[in-house]
Amino acid sequence: MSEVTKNPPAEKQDVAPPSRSLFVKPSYESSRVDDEWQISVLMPGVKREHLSVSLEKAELTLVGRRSDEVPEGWRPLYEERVRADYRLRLQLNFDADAERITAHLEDGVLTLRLPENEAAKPRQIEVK
Amino acid sequence: MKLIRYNDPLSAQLRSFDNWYAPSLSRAFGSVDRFFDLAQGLAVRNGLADQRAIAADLYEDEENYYARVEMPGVKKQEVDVSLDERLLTIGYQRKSADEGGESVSGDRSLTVPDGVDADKVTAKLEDGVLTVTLPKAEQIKPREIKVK
Repeated sequence: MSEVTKNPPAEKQDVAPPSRSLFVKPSYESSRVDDEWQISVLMPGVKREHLSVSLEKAELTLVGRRSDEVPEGWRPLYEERVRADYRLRLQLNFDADAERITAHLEDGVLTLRLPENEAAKPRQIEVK
Repeated sequence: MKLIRYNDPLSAQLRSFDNWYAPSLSRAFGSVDRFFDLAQGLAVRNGLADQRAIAADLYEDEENYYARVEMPGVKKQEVDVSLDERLLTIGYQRKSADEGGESVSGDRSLTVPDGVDADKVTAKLEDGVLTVTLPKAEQIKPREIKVK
């Protein structure tokens, strides 16, 4: 479970100091399951302790720092992978219940579950 | 006069060029995606790692060659590594978690330099990144030649 901060402090550097200034946007997909949105983000090479998830207003920010550094002495013969950290910012178009957001990172895939805020759901009003 | 639709023989290559560069362009502009658009536009798949070509790197040092392959979401027991002459193939196959779902598979091949000691190849999967270590055979390792 990664930290989920409801209102990150004003000094943004505290959230996750990026080890590099270069970011790539990770591939992701989202789906609606029952009352929540599930987002799967591909972040190969990121460990749990180097991942931060934060929600500020309706913007969800994910920053994942890679830990699969190329060891000293390895000479590249051929490189396709981008040596950068991951950052994904998503504007949520629904009211997510920040208290109930869960994040799970396994084998380089982050799975986020964002339940909708109960109060924000449309409800049927009974006509008397 | 007759109009004949001209199909540029290069168009297929150009399209693949686009496929290569479009992601990096969108990265460069760091756009904030609108959740709603993407949620509509993307189909949900069983497996994640199959949505694009599997990215790979190849390195060397004095002792070994190293192949690094991105395989997010793939488990150790689903990976299959084989070396045939100089062709290193890394594949995976997984059964869908849902009942009756299709299985997902993918593979990636890399040509590695000559002189790999095929019996000593090892592989390690960590955080969705597979590192294959291919030891160099003794005869190709650099050696100091003494001048007499």
